[in-house]
Amino acid sequence: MPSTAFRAAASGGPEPDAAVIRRSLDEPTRFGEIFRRHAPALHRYAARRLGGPDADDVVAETFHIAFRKRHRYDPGRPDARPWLWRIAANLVRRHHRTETRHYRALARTGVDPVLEGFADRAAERVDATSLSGSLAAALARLSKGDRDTLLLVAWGELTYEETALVLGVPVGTVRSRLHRARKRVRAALAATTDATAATTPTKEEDHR
Amino acid sequence: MNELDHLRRMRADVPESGPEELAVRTGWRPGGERPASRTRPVSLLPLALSGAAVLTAAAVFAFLVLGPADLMEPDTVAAGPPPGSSNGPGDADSAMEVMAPVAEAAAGAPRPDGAVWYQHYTWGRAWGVGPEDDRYGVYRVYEEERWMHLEKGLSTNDIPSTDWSLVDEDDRPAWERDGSPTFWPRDPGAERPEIPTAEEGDGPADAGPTGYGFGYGSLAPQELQELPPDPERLEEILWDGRPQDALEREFREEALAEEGYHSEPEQRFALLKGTLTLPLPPEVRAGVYEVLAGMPGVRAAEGVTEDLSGRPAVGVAFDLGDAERGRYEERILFDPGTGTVRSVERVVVEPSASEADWSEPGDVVEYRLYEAAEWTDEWPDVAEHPLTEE
Repeated sequence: MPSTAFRAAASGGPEPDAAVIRRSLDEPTRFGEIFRRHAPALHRYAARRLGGPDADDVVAETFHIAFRKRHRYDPGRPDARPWLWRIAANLVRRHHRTETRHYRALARTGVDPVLEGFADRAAERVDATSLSGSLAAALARLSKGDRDTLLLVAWGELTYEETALVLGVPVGTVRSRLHRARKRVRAALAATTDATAATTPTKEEDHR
Repeated sequence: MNELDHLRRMRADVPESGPEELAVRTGWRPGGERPASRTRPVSLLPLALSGAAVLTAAAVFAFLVLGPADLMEPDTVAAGPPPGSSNGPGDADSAMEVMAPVAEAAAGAPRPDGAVWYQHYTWGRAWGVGPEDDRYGVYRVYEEERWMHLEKGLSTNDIPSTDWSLVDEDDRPAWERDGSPTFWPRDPGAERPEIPTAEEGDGPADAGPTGYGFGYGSLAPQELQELPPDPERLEEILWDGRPQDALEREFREEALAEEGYHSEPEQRFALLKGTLTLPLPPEVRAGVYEVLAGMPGVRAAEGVTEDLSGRPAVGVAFDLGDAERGRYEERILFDPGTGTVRSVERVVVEPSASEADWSEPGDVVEYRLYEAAEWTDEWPDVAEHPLTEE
């Protein structure tokens, strides 16, 4: 999915991220535009993985680092998304255990700790289904590399190429990690579905 | 629905916040100070703000993030204290408040009963191990006993056992993915020793002569017992209160760097730490505790009520490191009832970049837990090699 910044440039809209960053070297406040464009998606991704408070820290630190290093930004890359997401991904990884505990809690109790800050969301989600619990349990068991890859694609909506840039690995590695992670998650979901089906009366049984 | 669809459904539970709201929540603004990490219960910070709050946030965002850079305004949105400096003034008042009763307890300890100072402690250091993209932390642990015979001027030690353990039980899945190893060979590239160590021995080593490092100098056993209890006099002896000329100061700074210290307060804290487990007379121990409380950079270990093993403890802390090396809090913890040293613990505040994939804030990456530090008449049956005078 192309970023807003790149798509806008192609259509004659707002200037690309690279141009904004270049301007910010002389006018620092211009960098606020980069925050405006990218912080919401970054925060949502981090919040889904770590919860609100840690996501706030990750986003704050991401843009603090990006601002300090903006003079080294490659002007040949109009879209700053891979650059920013790379910084954020490294910061998210520092909270690996916190994230694992969230998934385990969800798997164990059916309550999603990440959503505790959302009173309205908690009411809408009447339950976490057994599938959510199995999904969370599967995520908890993934290696850091596999989990990062899967969630950058599923929750970050990054392309394989962007994910490869963010993680600093070849695209082939992204494909193999994604394949492995999806296989494991799929198996966990299938096991839950089979277990549910085994305990659900069939039509034949109902009509007996 | 496939597995990606299920994952996207999970993501849909978390709405996207607007940039104005995020500017308020994160406290970020271009060119601003590094935002302080906010630690707070999830329940106190909803992910979504009310409508009125969003309008206010938009106004704040417009000024802070997009406004003129030349206006200096108080930081009205950042929260939390600034990151502590590693060599700041500390808080002598808070440290003394903690150490005064500990010193009093130490001064009231029974007089030495026995010629041998015996210590028993467990020492652990954390290392990141496992595959490069899935590392986890393990402790290299060993148990040590040490005997110092004051009359003979000899000391010996023994390592009864060595072991390993996970730094955090939440890393067990990563350990299992790694094949559940119980031994990690030495890794010269990472400068990591084998885990667990092979130093487990066959009994105490031969006893040899020992000096007692005391600050910048060292003392003979008798000199240690004759130290004055007055903290000011102890400071002079510890830091060799001679005036330094420019050349001597230059040598001292070079020596600091060579020994791996980044400042004199850091070096002195490390040296004084080593002093605490010496066979000090009770009133001298109390005096050393007061010296510790008054040292630059030393502050109360706030919120600490027990040591790593769960024993009740109070103590002091000193900030180490920087953004490059990682930031740590070194704690010295005491038994409030007896004034003895319980433990020394190095806690991660912010891991270094190279260790951030397995180490998290709050991890204890190095520790020494004291099980015993007492006088006794028991001396191991070992060969003795006293210092012979020529």
